[in-house]
Parts: sequence; C-alpha cells; structure tokens
Amino acid sequence: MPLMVERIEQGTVIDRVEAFAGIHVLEILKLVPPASLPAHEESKSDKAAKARSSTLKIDREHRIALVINVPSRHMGRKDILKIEGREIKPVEANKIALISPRARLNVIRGGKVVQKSDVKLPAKLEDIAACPNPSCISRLEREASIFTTEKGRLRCLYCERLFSTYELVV
Amino acid sequence: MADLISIRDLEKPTIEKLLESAQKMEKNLFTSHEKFQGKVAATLFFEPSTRTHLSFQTAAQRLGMSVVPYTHSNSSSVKGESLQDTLKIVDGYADALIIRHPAEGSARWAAEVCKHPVINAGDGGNQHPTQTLIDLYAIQKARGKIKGLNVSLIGDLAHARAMRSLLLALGMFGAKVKLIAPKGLEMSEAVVEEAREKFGAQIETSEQLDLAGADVAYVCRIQKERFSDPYQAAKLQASFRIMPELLKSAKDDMILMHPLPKIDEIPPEVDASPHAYYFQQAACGVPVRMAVLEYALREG
Ligand SMILES: [Zn+2]
Repeated sequence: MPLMVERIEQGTVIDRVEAFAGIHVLEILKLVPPASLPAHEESKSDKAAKARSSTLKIDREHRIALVINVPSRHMGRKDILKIEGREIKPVEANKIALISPRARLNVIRGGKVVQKSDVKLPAKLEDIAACPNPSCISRLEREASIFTTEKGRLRCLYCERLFSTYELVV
Repeated sequence: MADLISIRDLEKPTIEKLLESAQKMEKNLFTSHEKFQGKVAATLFFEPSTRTHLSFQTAAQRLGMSVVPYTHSNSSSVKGESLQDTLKIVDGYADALIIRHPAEGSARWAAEVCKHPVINAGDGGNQHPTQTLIDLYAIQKARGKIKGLNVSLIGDLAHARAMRSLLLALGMFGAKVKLIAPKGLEMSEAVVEEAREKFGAQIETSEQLDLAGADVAYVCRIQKERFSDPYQAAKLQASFRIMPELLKSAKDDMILMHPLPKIDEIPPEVDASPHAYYFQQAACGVPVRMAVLEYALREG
C-alpha cells in the first residue's frame, strides 16, 4: 500500500530527494532546528523554544509532510517533502543540490503544479555555506565562503581544503 | 600587476618563467635594477618567521626597493576588522604587500581587500608558494632538470604544508615522487589524488626510510607539538633521522634538502656531507623572491 499524504493547496513539493536526506533539506530550509538541538522544545517552555527558534530563524509556521525511503522508478529509493505555504528561493535550491543533486521542485498554487524545476549544483557556490575549517579566514572575515566544485566535492576558495557536500550543510 | 597566492593558481609556463627570471636575478644579484627604485614593499608578518621575513626584505632591497616591515606578535588582536584596516592602510603606502598570517586563506582574502599585488608568505597550514618555487629552483639548479628525477619526500607529510605544495609542483614538472612517512603521518590522500589526476603524477608511498635510488631526498621535521604523547613523537623522530650511515646507501649525486630550520631530523655532522644541499637551497630564496616581486609588479 502506498503511503497517503494529504495534498497541499499552496506551497512546494520537493521530489526526488535522496533517500534519508529529507530531514537535512528541512534543516537547510530552517523548517526544523538542526539535529544538534532537540527538535521538540515545547516541553521545556514555550518561551525558551521561541527564543531559540528566533535566534536560529527557525520557521515553525508551516505544515510539513516528509516521506522517507519510498520506492522510486528513477532512484530506487527517495524522500519526498510537502511544505505548505512556502516556496523555495534560488539560494536554498542550490543548497539543497549539495545533498540532493537530483531533487525536483514543484511549485503548487491553487492545488496545482504551476512550475517544475530541477535543482542544480553550480560550478561556484557563493555565500551559501560557511567553511567547515575553523582556521579558515572566511570564518573570521565573511559570513560564508566561496566554493568551487571538484568532482562532486567542494574546495574552499580561501583555505583550499576539500569538503564533501554534506560537510557544508550538516 | 599580479598576486601570488597559491601554487594551485600557477600554470606551468608561469612557473617556468619565474624560474628563468630567478636564474637571471641570481646571475645579476649585485647589479642595480633601476625600474624598481622608488617602489615600496610592505612586509606584514602577523606571525613570526624570521628567515622568510629576512629573505623577502633582502630580495626587495636587492631590487632597489624600500621595505616597510610590519611585525605583529600580539595574537589577540589578529582578528576581525583590525586586520582589514591594517591591510587597507598599508595598501595605501606600498606598491606590493607581502603577507604572512596564521589564518588559512588570509592571503587570498588580503588580495581581495588590497589594490596592490599581494604575495603570500605563508597562510597557516595552507600555502607558502614562494617556498615551493625555491624548492623547484634549487632542484633544477643542482640537477639541471626536474622531469624524470626520483624525488623522495620524507618525514611528517601529514602536517607539512611545504610538502603538499611541492608534491603538486613536482607532479606538474614530471618528477617521480616517493612519499616516505611514518604510519599515521602520511600525505593527505586528497592531495595525492589531485597530483595524479591533474598531472598524471607517478607517486609511490612507503613507511620505510630508504634513500636508495633517490636523486633528491627532501626531509621535513616530525611536528612533535602535534602529538599528545611526546615519547611517541621522539621515537618516530629517532626512526626518521638522516644519519651519516644512511647516506652511504644514497646515490653519489643525491642532494639532501630541507626547508629549514632543521631540529634533529638531520644531525649537524651531516652538514659537511657532499649530499647536504639545504644551505644552498636556502640561498635560492633571495633570487626566487626577487623574481616573484618582479612578477607581482610587472606592468599590465
Ligand atoms: Zn575555508
């Protein structure tokens, strides 16, 4: 039996996400707190959770469905995300491409797909992610670094170290 | 005008030109270079490196340039806006900036901030491109070529930034490289792969200290400060010392190189050996850095 998830009227369906990468896509979109923090903070106090969310700019307003590890003709297995009331900015799409290079964005308006586009990892990633190297000058002088893709890995323009795409996001 | 930030930015013809011009500089070390007179080089050393600093200052002065040295030893203020401000101020004074800073990528970032050419004199664990050029120049000077030579890189290859850049450069110039490192201190696999892919470099690896067959043996020190166990570090260092007996197994014309300063990886009694080449290698620093300054300040 296929998993049933309700349709959305307005928002985005992100299809062809690499299996098990869906949760990281939600982190990229700041729709869930990063895995290093407890996702469900309401138990402590609403106030603390809200404060934490606002410093991380976590957006808790949307209804989200995350389908994990379902069969796919294209990919064998995949994740699917449905996010109500949220569209994806180009910068976010590039960042999603880091961990899910085959992802497809479907913009939904009035319950219909009005636009489809595949994410693409650009040859040069600018101001998308910080350099994971703590000794890198970009960590002191810039908000994010610049990376060039090199056989599926990314080299920081400044410290010249190579990173996996995952290291940049997670 | 051009920056010199990383060996990765340099194409082979550019390096060949630099080596050629270094040769001319060495021949005419004591003649005056009028076109550089009145030019000012600023040396910004945010971490101490006396040898490199002196070498750059000498190179600039041999070209007839004036030098504005800036040394900074107070690490607590080496951060944030003050660095950017310092760079901008000095950029307003000088025709070229020579920068050494512990943060990786600092030279490239400085080049973005400054209008005048920036020369990287070492950016933390990342690059020290003039050292690599000096190494190539010294090898070529001693052996007349680089292509086809058997070059062994020996020691703590995991931490020595000089060795990573040199491996790429040797790959580019078609030397056959043997990487000899104690277990756990091997050269980064990514750099080995890079040299193989970009240049088709011939690279073999070994854990056994052995000089047989080498035309060039390039030794770097075991960075003891990187070890949590000083006893283990001392043991490794002892097993990787270049002792006079070991040199007996070397080819007669093998040259022994070292970026200096050497601690105990090459004992002083080796200095008198005909293989010892590290002091001549160090002397190449001035002409090579003269060539680099000329490259940085060239018109157009
Ligand atoms: Zn970096």
